[in-house]
Amino acid sequence: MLRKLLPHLAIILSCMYVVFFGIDRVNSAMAFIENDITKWLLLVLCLISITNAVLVIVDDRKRERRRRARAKKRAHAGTAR
Amino acid sequence: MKKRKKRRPWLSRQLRRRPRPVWVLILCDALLLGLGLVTFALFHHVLPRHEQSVGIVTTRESLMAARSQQVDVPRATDAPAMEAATIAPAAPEGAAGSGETAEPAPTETPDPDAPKRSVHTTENIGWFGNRFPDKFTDGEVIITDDSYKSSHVNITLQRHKKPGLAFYVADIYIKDIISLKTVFAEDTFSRGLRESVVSMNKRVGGIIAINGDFYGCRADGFVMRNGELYRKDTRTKRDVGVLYWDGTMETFSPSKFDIDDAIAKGACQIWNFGPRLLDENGEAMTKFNSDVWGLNPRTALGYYEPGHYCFVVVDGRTDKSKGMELKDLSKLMHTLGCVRAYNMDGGNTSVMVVGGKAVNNQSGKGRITSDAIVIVDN
Repeated sequence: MLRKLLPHLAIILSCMYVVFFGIDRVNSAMAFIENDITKWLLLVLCLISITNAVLVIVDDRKRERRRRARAKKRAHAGTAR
Repeated sequence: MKKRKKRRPWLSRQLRRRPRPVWVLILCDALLLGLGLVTFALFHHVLPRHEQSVGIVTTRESLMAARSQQVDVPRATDAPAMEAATIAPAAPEGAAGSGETAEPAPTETPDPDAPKRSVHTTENIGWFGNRFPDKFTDGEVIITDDSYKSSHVNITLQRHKKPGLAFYVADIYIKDIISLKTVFAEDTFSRGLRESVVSMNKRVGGIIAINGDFYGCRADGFVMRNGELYRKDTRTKRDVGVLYWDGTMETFSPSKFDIDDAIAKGACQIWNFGPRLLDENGEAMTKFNSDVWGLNPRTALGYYEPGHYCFVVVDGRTDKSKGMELKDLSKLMHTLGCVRAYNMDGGNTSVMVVGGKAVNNQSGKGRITSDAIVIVDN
């Protein structure tokens, strides 16, 4: 479940930051970026991104391991014949 | 007995189903993004969050004491000197509410043993009665559509309207600095609390009012109102406008502003929105410390000399008036003869209120704000 939710959370939070950046350029006096809420959101975004990245790396390594195991199996089957 | 299979939660079941079409995913993410932004706005600038005041208070009396001069006076002249030392404007009604104390000016006890003694001579700080004697009446109040003249206040409102631009200039003379006061929404220092300038003006019995710097939408910077320092956060990157108890006004870039110095010099109002509109020599500027560029509704406070100020409000974002750029506003303030000018919050917030209603056409439906600058008749 986490694997499916996290990318969406990352997209939503990133889009929020794009909006904050845009309106902060227009009116920085409103402090859309320099406030406590946005700083905490940034921390959440960072944690989500790190978790996402770790999950992607883990998946990638699993896939790679499986691919190698399959290739090895095929090689063994070839030599047995 | 048949073992019943445990049912997964709804969200888990949804996520384990076949992948949804892409447009459904995009729509869901967009809706959640909107929800996130609304929640952010709710906590960022809608829900009130009370703040604690720094607690530093400056009063006119403390400034008088600080500015008093030690002069040697022969013993024979002690009595007249004492009388002169205690001359000060009577504390007007409502001074307590503006953060001032009604303590008398400091005096000294005569020392009979000393051949000469030192006395404090005090000046009437923030009292401009002698500066513009012809501007005030002897007690009667003369009110017309565009002017107000009394024993303490003289206001003339000019409405300038030409194709594509409308702005309003209120030329203001005050006899006493406490006639220019600032008001918080619901009389409370808080982020998120808002009130219309009309309502704030009505509550304090103001003659004319403009919106302030909307301190309530930020957590940083400086907020000083009627002598009390409420917020002291040096992280600010915005220009600072300071009005002192002696009636002078100064504007600073954030790097050159020293809060301790301003307090020592007797600051009574500090705004932190900006930018400043005139340079140190009172000349118009072309570059500003602000991101709010383009044609917009504007509000500005102008300073000519102690006791003489102006409120300027420019209409904008309508067919009748597009608004002004900062450089145009700077030129206008210079043309009016101001030597210092400071830009307050603009856009939908920009408003000038006279006699319980807005004089200008607020853009959009207007915006309630967290503070106002009001002229009251003592």
